[in-house]
Amino acid sequence: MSKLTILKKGIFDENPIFVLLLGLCSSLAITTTLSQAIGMGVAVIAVLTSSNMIISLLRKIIPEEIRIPIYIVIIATLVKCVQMLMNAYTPELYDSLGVFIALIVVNCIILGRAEAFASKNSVIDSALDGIGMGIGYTIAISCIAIVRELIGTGGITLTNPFDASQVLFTFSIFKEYAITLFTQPAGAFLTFGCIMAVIQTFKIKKEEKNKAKEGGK
Amino acid sequence: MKKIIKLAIILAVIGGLSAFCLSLVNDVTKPLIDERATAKARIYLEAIFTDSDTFEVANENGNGSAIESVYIAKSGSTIDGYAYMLNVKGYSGTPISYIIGISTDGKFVGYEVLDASGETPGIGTRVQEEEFSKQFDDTSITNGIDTLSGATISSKAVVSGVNEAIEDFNKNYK
Repeated sequence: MSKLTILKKGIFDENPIFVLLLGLCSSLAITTTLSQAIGMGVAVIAVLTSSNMIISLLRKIIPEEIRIPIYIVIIATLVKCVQMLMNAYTPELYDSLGVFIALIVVNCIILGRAEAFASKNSVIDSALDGIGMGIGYTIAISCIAIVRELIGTGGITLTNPFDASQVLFTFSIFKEYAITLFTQPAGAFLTFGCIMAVIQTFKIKKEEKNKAKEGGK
Repeated sequence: MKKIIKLAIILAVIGGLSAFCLSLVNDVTKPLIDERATAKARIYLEAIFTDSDTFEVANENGNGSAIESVYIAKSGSTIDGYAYMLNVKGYSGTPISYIIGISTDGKFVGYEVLDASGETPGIGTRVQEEEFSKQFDDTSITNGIDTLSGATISSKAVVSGVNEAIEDFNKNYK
């Protein structure tokens, strides 16, 4: 597998949210605004990349029997570090993400990648896998967040994560017609279901095309 | 047997290393996090004592269970009053943190809720609203504070903290 394929498969073919359907709990909970989704995505990229690298480095030392507890210790340490750094440097983001930063520890994407990829591959490949998966996760939750924020509040506001008072861009088109249901948990499921349906449709069409091509040979 | 010991040692070493990393990061971030907490409290302190320019920490770790810290509000060298930062357990044990101001002549001068996010929306969160906070508008501390009917547990918790602050004020600053 080339380096580029490893990086790309996390974004498209094996997108953790839309294809592997991993880590949905936190991704449905924090996607109320785009700023939060991007903040969460960056935190996940940081944790996933570094946990993949460390576990890959230690893969020959870690005994088979106790690999899961060791993975959990490594992941928990990294998450706690990220949490403390966010509390210190991006306080507003830290407040709005709340408990979901700590819950990255039990996010199955991270343990899943450690077990399925990092424990069997080289450090560089694992790092690329972490970055790819992390970017895939970020893109996926950003999509959900854009739809939810747009329909739920009638506009989108992206704030600087380091200073919440600094607004990077904002627009509002139909504030009076906003459906607030979409900012609530039920809205997350509705949005997620619709996006999944669209992706599945494209997938099925693509498969049919491939089949037709093969049939034509 | 030998194997178990070997596994235990490996796990212990990794645990120790991660503890070491955590303490390093904690050393770097702790001062910043503390500073932010103080800055946040200062905004509320300034809202209560609008004329004061300095806030001195009188009691870093209060003796009562609810009192987190006591600030002396001063303008120049005259004391305007005392601010009590309180933290009590609200409904289902989630913390409510708030600040009350008591002037030097024994009157409530302000009440600001920092965090009541654990309370039931629309019920326990009423402790942040006007109907409760108006009791702190320039009334003597001897009158006491009434609880809210319908939000008994949350408001009782807040009142118990206030009573502790009054007790401390009577003992130390009256």
